[in-house]
Amino acid sequence: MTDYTKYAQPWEQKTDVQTRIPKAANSRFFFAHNPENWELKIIEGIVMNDEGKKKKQKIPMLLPVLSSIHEIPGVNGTRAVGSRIDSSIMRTNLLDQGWTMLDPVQHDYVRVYPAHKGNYHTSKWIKLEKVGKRVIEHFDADGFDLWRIELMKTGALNTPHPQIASIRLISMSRAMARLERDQHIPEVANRLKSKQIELKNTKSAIARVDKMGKLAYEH
Amino acid sequence: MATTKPITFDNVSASGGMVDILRLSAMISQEINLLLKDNSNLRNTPLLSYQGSINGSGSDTIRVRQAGLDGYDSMASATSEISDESGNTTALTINSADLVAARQYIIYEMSDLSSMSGFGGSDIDPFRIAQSIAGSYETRFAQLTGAAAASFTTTAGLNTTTLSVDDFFDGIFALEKASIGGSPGPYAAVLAPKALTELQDSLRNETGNAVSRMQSSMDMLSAKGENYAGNLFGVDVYRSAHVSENSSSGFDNYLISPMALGFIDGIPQGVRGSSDLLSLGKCVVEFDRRPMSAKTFIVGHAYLGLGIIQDDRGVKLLSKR
Repeated sequence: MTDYTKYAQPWEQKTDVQTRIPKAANSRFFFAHNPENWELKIIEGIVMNDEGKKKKQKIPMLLPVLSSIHEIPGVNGTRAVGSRIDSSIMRTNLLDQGWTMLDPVQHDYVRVYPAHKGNYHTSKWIKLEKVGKRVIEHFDADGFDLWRIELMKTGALNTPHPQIASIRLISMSRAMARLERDQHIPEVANRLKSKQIELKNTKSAIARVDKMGKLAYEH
Repeated sequence: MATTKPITFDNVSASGGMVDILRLSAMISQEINLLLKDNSNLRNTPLLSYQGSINGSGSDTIRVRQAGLDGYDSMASATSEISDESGNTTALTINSADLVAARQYIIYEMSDLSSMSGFGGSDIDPFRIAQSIAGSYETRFAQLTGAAAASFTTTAGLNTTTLSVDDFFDGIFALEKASIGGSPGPYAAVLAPKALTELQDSLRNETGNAVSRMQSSMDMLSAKGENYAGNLFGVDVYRSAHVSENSSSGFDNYLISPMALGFIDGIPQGVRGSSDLLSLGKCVVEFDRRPMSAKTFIVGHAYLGLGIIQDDRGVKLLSKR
């Protein structure tokens, strides 16, 4: 395993040549969210029970699906102006369609590695390691979820509209309907059961947001 | 009888070894074989709309005009047979998408010695490199298509799960219910190689007869070398290594119908001062000679812009990386 953050050979003089990760460079990006896109996550939290005592509980939450929007001259109206990249047309289009863009400087989520032919941009929750000839990516899903919860709590992103969140229920029902006929097969029955639980949790998450608004993300 | 001075192949010349003196340590193959690559794209298909060239247009941008005509607006009932409806005129719905062409490039640098010592024929020299640049353009086109599609608003699947038949159905469902009357086909899905294998796995686990006994489902499971993977539920499925990787550890696979994405280009013409300019389809290649250092730069340029024209006609199919 190679740790790319601290690479030095003590018997050589330091050179200006940096260690580069064995991945092709990519362009810089920012995270953006469209109010139509949510995913269900079960978060372990502490809630007060009826007797006023704190209790550990699994809370279903709808977390925003964040898109990585790359700024590449020639893509979606982005152009190179002088030595900088001007993505104003793309950003305006995204705003028109209701996206919320998350400033990488303000939210500090971008990490840049020197790579093959330039820099490799990724999020801070992705850790890169080299095993054999492969670059393995470890994704800190829990850290990413906590950050997304924080975005909801601080109001950086608006809470899901219950009507839009309900669209997910339609596709989940369709998926279950396909399985129902074959539920006599144990493996299918298991899949159906997990989808039923997911449906129940999604409904519960929607109801929670409907009732509590932003406070639904306190845990 | 044992000898004390055998002639051997090894590289110990003091004891008669021939390598590097009378023999080669390695004979290089006459033919240059290609490394694995993926430069397939949807450029010459009806799925990507060509919106023209910027050459002589006065701008680097082409605004794709869109209007709600031919049935977009419906009629309404008059209040009565003699009512004056002049105050109820219909506003024409209009929209536009800007496609901006930007310079894409690739540059190689080759010394005379490395060029002249080649075997000739199709060995690597500045001309062979120039020919290779035409393929680099196609690869770049595929990359930019993937990057443009990563901004589709509608998503199906999740970054945390593998691609399944359910996700695929969700994608089709999203296109079919898009705005007014659904998006007209044909539909095509472009999947990362890993996502395609996941979809095939999911297809194998299908139990419903309508899906599992479908001829196209069986075809999808057979291995194919090229990027076209088959037709599934009426959607042409392509594999591409240039599907965008997002920073939530997922792939931004995509499902499109015609007019979801479009592109424009520009080709430099009549370039003054260029003595060696090769026009290779949509890109040009020039040779920049540096006699003081006995080397040649092989410079490829293309002007290309890709973007979303109608967001409702495309869906992002997320899957775990």
